[in-house]
Amino acid sequence: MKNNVKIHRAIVGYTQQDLAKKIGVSRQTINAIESGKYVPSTVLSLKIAQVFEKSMEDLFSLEGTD
Amino acid sequence: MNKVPLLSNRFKKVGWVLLIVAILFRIADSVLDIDSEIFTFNVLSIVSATGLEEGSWFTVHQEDISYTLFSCLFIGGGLLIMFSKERAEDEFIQSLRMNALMWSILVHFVLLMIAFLGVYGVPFLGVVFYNTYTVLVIFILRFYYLLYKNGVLSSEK
Repeated sequence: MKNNVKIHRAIVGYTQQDLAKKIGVSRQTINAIESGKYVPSTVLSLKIAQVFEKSMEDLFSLEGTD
Repeated sequence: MNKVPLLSNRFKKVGWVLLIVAILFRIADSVLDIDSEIFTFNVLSIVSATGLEEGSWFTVHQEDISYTLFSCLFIGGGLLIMFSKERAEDEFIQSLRMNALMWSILVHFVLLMIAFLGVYGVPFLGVVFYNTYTVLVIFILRFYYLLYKNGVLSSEK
């Protein structure tokens, strides 16, 4: 699953730490999500979408291998 | 999300202390060749037997408990490390936990299978001795490697 969390984070001017704090995870988790090493759960994805006031589809999309 | 129930992070330190004490005790016991009488006590056994005789149930008798002591310290310490939360436990760390658990189970049984295929007779007792701890040891090594690789360890310092 691809995501553009990093782009949306940059648009609103949050650091990884800011976003991590808002959704209650560690900065390393945000880093792992942004670098595609970790696919977040539905709950966490919804929390991220809520912070950016975007829909899930704006942030996450399926890849050919999914 | 349903999270795996884990102990508080404080127990991790206790676990490391127990594990290190167990290892030091084991090294000291084998290097210094400590007299086994020091560790001989009356113990209540669920079942015990000498040689090939039929085992007797629930008896009190004298035993060297040095191996029991080492095992209990090592397993107790290992379990506390394994089942205590990290400082910032979240679903990503739980996924690393799952990865380490899968690895430890896989390595444990692959090693056991290799031992079944290639070790026969009395040396197999050595396999039983060491393989008892494989799950704990591989889990801890793999889990801490993953934490280190993902920068979780450096951020905790």
